[in-house]
Amino acid sequence: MIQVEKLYHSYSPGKENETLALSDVSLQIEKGEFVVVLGHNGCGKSTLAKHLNSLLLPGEGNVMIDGLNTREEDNLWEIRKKVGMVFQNPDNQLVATTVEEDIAFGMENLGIDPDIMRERIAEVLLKVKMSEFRNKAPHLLSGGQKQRVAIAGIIAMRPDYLVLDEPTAMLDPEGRREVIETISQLNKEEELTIILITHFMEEAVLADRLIVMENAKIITQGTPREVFSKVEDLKKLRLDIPQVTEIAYALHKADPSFPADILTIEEMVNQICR
Amino acid sequence: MPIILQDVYYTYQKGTPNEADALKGINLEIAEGEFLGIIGHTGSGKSTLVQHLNGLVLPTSGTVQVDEVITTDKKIKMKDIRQKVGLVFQYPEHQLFEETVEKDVGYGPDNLGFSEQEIKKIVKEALLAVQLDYKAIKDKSPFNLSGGQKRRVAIAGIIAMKPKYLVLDEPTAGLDPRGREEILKQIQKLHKELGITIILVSHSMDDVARVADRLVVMHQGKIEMSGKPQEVFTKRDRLNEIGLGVPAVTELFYRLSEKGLPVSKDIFTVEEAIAALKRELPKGVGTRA
Repeated sequence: MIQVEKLYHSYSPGKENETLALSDVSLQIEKGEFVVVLGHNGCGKSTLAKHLNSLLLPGEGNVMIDGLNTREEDNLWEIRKKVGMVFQNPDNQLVATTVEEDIAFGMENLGIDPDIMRERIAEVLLKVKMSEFRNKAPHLLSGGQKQRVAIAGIIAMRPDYLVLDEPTAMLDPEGRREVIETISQLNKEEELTIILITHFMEEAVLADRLIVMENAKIITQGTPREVFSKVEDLKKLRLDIPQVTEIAYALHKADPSFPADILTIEEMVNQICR
Repeated sequence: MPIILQDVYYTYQKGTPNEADALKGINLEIAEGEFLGIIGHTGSGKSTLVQHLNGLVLPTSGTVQVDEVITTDKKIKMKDIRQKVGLVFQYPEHQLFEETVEKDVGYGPDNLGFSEQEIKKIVKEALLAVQLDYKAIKDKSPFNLSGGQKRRVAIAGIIAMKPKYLVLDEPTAGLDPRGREEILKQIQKLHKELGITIILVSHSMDDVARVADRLVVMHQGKIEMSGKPQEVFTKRDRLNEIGLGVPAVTELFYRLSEKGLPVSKDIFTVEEAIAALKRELPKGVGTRA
């Protein structure tokens, strides 16, 4: 379990340009959950993500990963092993000349036996559906493929939690679909805990729980259905809402018996054409 | 005068094992004052196509004519075409390089030989056009701005060249919803208020559907379809086949119509959808399934 307790974080503390990035953020994430964090650029969501594996340390408050406090230096390696991170730009995360070497990189640093490494490379490539690219050069892959290699490199280290900071922001629709399918599958089949930061609604609706941040704070959380039914609040924040949800909401206002919490085209069609 | 592409072919790395045809016989006319959306997958040829519009890439065969000049004509000055057709690349903020916003935006006009007074005026106007406050921002380092602001400064740098045609390659990529909305609004403003011809390249159907007068759909180096958004979206099955799809709202109305509901299929905004459904909804659907 990840526990975030009354977390505060400022950039450039004590200086003229001090900015408060996290303010009184408390949060618990259970093993096996699929959590999406939603919010505009600058709302603090990436700062929060970086606290989950000690890339940043709290100004005030505590972050505990399975009971290990990120403030304690002795816990650093254990925490980094438990919490894997994938970032936005795939080009900044790939380091080697072939896909398999790239995946081996993290494991090598952990001193894993070469035979086990080979097994795991085959296994994780299968999981992200990239086996046939094993000997390809990463820079020749598409954005979606690169990002899946980055994910494979992380899950090869067997983390308990996978934090992804806008992993699809730079991808085209096809690449986005590939990456999200991979993440979703890792959560369902491997029971890997997922913490996904994104702007895209079609990704947010897949979560067990949605956390919305604005101005360094968590302002609302709940299931996607609960959160998106607050159409007017979300519009005020100028966050995207699934278009069918917006339509359902307008129909609900005209006729209160029409449900306001519709998330997908499928649900809308079923509601109308019963 | 328009931009006219006639039978344009382009081959990458011709004569090597990596040889690939990026464009295969493109015929396209872009009229002055148009707002054209070019949509297609990564690898469909859309970026290669727009790089032809200012002579950055020259056709392997065929011709590209910008107003009265042809880009492959050896007698012309490339500088004139580049000034006339402003090209904003993907992630244009990666190209910011000066110490201050004022210098960065002024770099183009400076190279065109304008006086200091004139440059200042041009920079002011260009920043205003992307809704940035000249006084507040001119002395800042472009590297200390937010992502959305950086992108707007980069676009201002192109507008400062006073282009007649403005090509933007995925201008909303990587931005949050608020940033996306703002950039699209500003592009619409440039089109309406300054009369700049806009060529917007995107892989987001939803984005282009809202703003463009005409869409060109690229697929495997060819123009697959072209027309008003309403016309293009009537080919939903083909658009799904080539992996582009139609806007979510259009998809909803297709499915409703397939289920026998008498609704129109050329609907692609939320507002139109709400109005249509209020009119057409059969009685009694307003209860929980």
